[in-house]
Amino acid sequence: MTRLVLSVVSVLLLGTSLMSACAQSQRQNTIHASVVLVDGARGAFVPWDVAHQQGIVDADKAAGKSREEVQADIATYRATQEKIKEGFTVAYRALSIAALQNDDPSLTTAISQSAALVDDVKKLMGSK
Amino acid sequence: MSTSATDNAVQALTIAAAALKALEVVADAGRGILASVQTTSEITAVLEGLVGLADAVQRGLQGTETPASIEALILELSNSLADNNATIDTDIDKKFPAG
Repeated sequence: MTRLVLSVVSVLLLGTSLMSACAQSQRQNTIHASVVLVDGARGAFVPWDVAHQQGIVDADKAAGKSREEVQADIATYRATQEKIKEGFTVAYRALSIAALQNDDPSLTTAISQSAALVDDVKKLMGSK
Repeated sequence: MSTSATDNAVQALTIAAAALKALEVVADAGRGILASVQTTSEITAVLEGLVGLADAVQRGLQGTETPASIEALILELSNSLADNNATIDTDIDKKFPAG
C-alpha cells in the first residue's frame, strides 16, 4: 500500500514537473517573441531617426533658417527621441525581469510595455 | 516511436511553431511601421531597417534571452542613436557654419 501511494505521488510529481517545464518553455517563447518585436521596432526606428533629423536640417536650410534655429528644431525632436529611447529601455528591462522570474505579473508587464513601445514608435514615425 | 522520442518530436514542433509565430509578429510590426511613414526618404530608411529585422529574428531564435544579452541590446540602441546624432551635428556644422 505504501509503495502504491509512493508510486502515485511520484507520478503526480513527475507530471507536475513536466507541466512546469512545458509552461516554462511557453513563457520563454513568449518572451522571445516580445524581444523580437521590440528588436524589430528598434531596427526600423534607428534608420528612420537619422533620416527624420536629416529632413529637419534640410527643410530648415531650404527655409533659410539660422544655425541657432536649426539647432533648436533638432533639440525639440531629440527630446522626443529621448522619450522613445527610454521606452525601449523600459520594455527591454521588463523583458529581462520576466526572463528571470516565473510569475504572471512580470510577464504581463513585459508584454504590455513592449506593445506600448511599438505603438509609440509607430505613432512617432507616422507623425510629421 | 517510443514515448521519449514522441515527446521530443512534440517539443521540437512546439518550438518551431513558436518561432514561426515570432516571425509573424515581426512581420506585422514591420508592416505596421512601414504603413505609418510618409516621406520617400523615411520609407527608404525603414526598408533598410527592415533588412535588419532578419538579424533580430535570427537573434530571437537562437536561444533564451538573458539579462546580459538584453542589456547589450539597450546599449546597442543607445550607441546607434548617439551615432545618428553625431552624423546630424556634423551635417549642421557643414550647412550652417558657426560665426
